[in-house]
Amino acid sequence: MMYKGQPASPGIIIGKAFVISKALKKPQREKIKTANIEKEILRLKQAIEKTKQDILHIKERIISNVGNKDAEIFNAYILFLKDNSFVEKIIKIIREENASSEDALHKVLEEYIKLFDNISDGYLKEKIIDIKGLFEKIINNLSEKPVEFFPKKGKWIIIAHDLSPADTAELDKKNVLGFITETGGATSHTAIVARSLEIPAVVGLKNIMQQVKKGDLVIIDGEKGIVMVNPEPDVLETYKKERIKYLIKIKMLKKLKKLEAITLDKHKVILNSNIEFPEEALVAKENNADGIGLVRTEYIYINRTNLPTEEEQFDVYKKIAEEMSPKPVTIRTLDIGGDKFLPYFKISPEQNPFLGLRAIRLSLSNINIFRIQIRAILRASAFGNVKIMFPMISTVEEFIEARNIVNEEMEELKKKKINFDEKIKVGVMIEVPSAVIMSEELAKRADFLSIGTNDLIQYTLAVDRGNAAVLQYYNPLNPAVLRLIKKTVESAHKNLKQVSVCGEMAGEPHLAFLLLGLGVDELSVSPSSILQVKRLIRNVYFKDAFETAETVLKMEKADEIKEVIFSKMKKYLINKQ
Amino acid sequence: MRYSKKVKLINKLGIHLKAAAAFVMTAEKFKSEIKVKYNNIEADGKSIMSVLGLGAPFKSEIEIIANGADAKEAIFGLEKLIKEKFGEEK
Repeated sequence: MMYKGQPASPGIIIGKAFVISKALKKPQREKIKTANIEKEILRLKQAIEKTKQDILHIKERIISNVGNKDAEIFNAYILFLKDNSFVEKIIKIIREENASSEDALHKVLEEYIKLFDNISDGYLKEKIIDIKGLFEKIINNLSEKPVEFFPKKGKWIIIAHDLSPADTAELDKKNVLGFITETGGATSHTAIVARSLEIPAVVGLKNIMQQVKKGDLVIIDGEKGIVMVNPEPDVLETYKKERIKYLIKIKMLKKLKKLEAITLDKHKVILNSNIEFPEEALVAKENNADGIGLVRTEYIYINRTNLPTEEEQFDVYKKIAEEMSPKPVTIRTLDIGGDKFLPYFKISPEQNPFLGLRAIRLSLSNINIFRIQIRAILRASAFGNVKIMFPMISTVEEFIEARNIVNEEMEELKKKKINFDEKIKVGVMIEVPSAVIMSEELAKRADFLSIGTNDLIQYTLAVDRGNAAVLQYYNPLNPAVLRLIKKTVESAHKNLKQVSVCGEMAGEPHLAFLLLGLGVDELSVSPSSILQVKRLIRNVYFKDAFETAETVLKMEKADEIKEVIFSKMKKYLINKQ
Repeated sequence: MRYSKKVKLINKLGIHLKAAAAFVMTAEKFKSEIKVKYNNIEADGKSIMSVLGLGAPFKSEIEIIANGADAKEAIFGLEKLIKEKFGEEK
């Protein structure tokens, strides 16, 4: 059977499943006899003691394997188990309600869940996961045959509902081939751990626990987010080959990490990374990216119940700026609307959200929210090389208005004697055809231009990318799109400004080749695409890319352009091997 | 003897798991009864569940109240811990 989840960490792996079912058993609500109460309390105390021993064991193992820092969290767990107010609470329920230890634990856990529900700080609220995990361990130890949560020997693909930071600390990495979880997204803890361990992971695969049992043969394709359970022999063979191909590719790409993005005829391309959350800056740095070409700030606003404060935003921006310093970090102001919304910030329903109150329009009509973000970015600019850019500018006035707000906030900071980069560069995103048409005027005023190809294609060709019925119209090689990019590049260069591309187009090697030829100075791609784009750049001639671009700019059909580009790619790949 | 003191949390994450653990371990060194107040909720300073359950975030102000023979020392020790960011940041 094949299942599709969210890709969380790339790679292909084939292995046996280890299903971690920590799910709490439902409370039984059976009363125990009064005569047996003392026996029940003893049973509880033994289970708590056993849990304490288990945790001490894990702690020792982690100290000897990884070091003290990762083990600290287990001190907290041991304190929980020694916490008298907690133990007494459970005992009281056993005594007063003739409840079993399990039922009493459930009741106390519910109390804690309620307590944590009232916490407003999102980070602290999440700590209930650790408490739940602890209750699971005690309840498991109450049973006569406690199940083993984590594998102790062999190599397994771990399948779980979710994995908390403590779970992954507890998990012995040498027993793990890959992760599959039912919850979580690409930014979940499991995904980050998997990427740092460089093992494949797929997350957000609902109900997978019911489909797999221990020992089943499982394939993970982490790049596509695909999971196969007990595959047919021919599928298995295909994936075995895919895995070998993947390993060869990885080996080759690893060599590329330290190298520069420079063509065979020594034309240096600035190769940046797009990131969404601060941890990704580490991946960008590791792959020797020249900077961050796009920080998407939406994630700071999404998945919460109120607006992020200036401090919260400042912390995130500062962290990225410091991490990358002295390399540049371009922060895009909020790009909400279209298909992304905030639960706590309602706008009136729109017939056409992509043509509605979106991105910079939304910021300019909610000026206080915008000012908070600008201040946070400006303050972070004191800690690295920070740039600002505005998404979806469609008129010159809009840019002037947004730029003025930046200037006003700079004045305010000066008055308050708060440090920031007074020469901070402010750029325009070119995503709307009107901005291309006015690109000369925009390039005069802005410090740089950055083409967001996803939206530029969608608005130029009037095609909704999410609509399968018109998907064939969404084509980055459409000559209209290429000519708009060329016009933008010319406008920027005429005004001695740099132009970057930060859409998905830059991450596809054959399209990156064309962008290079069109004269784009910087490419900004997802962290996972950096190496393959770098490989392309290092294997082509700039002169050839330029001539190819000149040729295709004269063409009128996307298919013809595609043919030219593909034959070029073929030539280079043949030369390569 | 009863002493109390208001202290601002300056570590990034507020009273999270490891910070709560550090707080309780320090509190346990003293004989005095120790309470922590945040947002009008009072927690037992020697119970990690109770302290963690306050959910006191970065930059919030908590009040430490100690009652007993070594109350003064307890307040001093706990204030120091908080000001040193629970030993977690440099």
